[in-house]
Amino acid sequence: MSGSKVKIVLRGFLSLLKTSRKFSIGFTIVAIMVILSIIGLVKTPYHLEGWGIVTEEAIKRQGLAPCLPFNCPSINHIFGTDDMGRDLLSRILVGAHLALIQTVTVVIISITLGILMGVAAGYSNTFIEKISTYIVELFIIIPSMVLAAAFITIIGRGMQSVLMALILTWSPWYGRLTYILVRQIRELDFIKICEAMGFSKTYIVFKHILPNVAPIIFVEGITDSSSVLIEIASINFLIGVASLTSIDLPDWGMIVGYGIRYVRTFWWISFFPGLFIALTAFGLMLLGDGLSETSSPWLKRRWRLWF
Amino acid sequence: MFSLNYIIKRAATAIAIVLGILVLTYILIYLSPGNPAYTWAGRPRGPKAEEAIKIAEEELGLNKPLYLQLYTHINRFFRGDWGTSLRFKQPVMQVVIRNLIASLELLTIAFTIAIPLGIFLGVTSALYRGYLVDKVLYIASSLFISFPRFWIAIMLSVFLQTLGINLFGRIAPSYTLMIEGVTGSHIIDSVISGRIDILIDVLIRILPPAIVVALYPMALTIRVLRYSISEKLHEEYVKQAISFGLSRNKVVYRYALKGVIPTISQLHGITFAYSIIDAATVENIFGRDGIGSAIVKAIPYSDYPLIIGLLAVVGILFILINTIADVIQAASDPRVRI
Repeated sequence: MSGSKVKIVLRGFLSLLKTSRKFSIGFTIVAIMVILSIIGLVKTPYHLEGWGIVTEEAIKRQGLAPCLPFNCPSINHIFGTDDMGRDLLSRILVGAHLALIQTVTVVIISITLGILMGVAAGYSNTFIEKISTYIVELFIIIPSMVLAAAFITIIGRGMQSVLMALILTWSPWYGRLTYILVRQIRELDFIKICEAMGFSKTYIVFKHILPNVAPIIFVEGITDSSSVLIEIASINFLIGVASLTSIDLPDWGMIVGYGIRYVRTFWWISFFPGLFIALTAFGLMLLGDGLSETSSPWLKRRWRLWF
Repeated sequence: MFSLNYIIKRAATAIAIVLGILVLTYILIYLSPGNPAYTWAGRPRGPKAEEAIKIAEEELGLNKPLYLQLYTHINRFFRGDWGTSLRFKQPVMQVVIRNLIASLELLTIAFTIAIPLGIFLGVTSALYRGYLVDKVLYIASSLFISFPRFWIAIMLSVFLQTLGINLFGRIAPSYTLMIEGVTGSHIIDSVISGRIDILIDVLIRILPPAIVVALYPMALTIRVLRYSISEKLHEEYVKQAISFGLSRNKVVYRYALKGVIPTISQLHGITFAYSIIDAATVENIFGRDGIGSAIVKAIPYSDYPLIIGLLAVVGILFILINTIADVIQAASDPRVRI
């Protein structure tokens, strides 16, 4: 991208921040989450492993308050501690980058796959079109939750099985959307003229079709990212509920899920990670809403019914 | 009202996708690293491991050529022989159907709450765009969409407990033996046995989780209607209806809403798939049976037959729902009928 294009994008971004309240609020929340995740990667107030029932020596060495299991939220542990005596604030801070990275990975990979599939279906011969639409229709109806469970039993517990399941079930949505858009675009005059002038198909795809399709899909992807985040968290929640031993990976959904067995008395274990999931998803949704409203400005208008 | 062509086309696609799912489940079994029979038997260890693997090998027919294996797999599925669940020690089909009915019960109640309420609130929001009602509804629906439903359910269950109301499980323990399990759905069973007190108990227990599950489809309906009804209200046919002097309610609910029905039916066909995840998480919080709690019980035991059975059945359920939604859409939108 040349310098002037960067400038245009930046200017558009700044004007969006100024004009759209939703976008600015969403951007602030997401930016705070990114900053928190960086803080979590650099330094956390307590060790992640927790000290279990802490000895006098450990207190002296670290100069911190003891980490007893099931500490109430207090000054030392703002969000309390969990069953292993691990500080929840530290775990949430470390979990922030996991949540963001998982969401971004799923959205970006499934957008890429979807665009590839959609362009292949919409701008090639009918045979590939039929096969691609069939694959899209097949994968759209596969329940991501059960697929994730299947991958967990095959590959083992871990982020990659959930991510694979989600990518497989989200990419057909973008595939379908791209397919519809490409079919609309390929009937337009400028593509017809290009074809008549004898340009190659790859040239037309990269020069004319992708630039027209990709921005729409990306806005859609940003709008969907909050749903993706919640879906990941829900599946991780189920894994957390299913887990027989305490979970090492500080994933927000897993912490909530593991915590529900104590929720009657120690509510904070499930409450605070869930709050962070909710806030992040809310921020992402506002971000997407603000972006998509710019493409249909009449939505913002306030109007009165005339009857 | 439909052409025969349309019905045949829809049915053929549905059948092709069902077969696709079955093939996919077989690929999932076959591609599992190491010996598929080892995974199918639940990664056994100990003295009887070899025996279990041998049984699994026979069940899957691994010694035959690939196309015959595929054929056996599909054939076994349609005969209802889906293997034995390792966790429940019962035939997979029994476990899957029992849990599926429990989940469907929850989802049905949730959607019967969500759709009318969502339509009403969405239309209200569209009629008063930019006013306080609209703003409140917009914020509420945004919160319901972006807040994880399992978190809301946890808050609700903790709140109910502090009030001293115990609503865990699908039915009060003392009632479980009093009704005959004809269909497996406690609501229908209690009606069949003619016990009003049990019916009330079951309905009260299903209400809090159903409300939580209903939040997402309701909020989505509000948002979609808010957009599309205000679009419809600017169209010529609505303007003409207004100029004829029809009452406002009639114009909005009879004419404007009619144009949105295809969108709503398609939306709920899709939302259903998403809501099943919500139902799965909420079931675990309220201690109910269902697909979610079946998965949770299956994961620690590596209960592969059960998960594969669930995958196939839930996938087929989604096809059914999508097909119904498509048919409703085609029935209400004459442009679709080809």
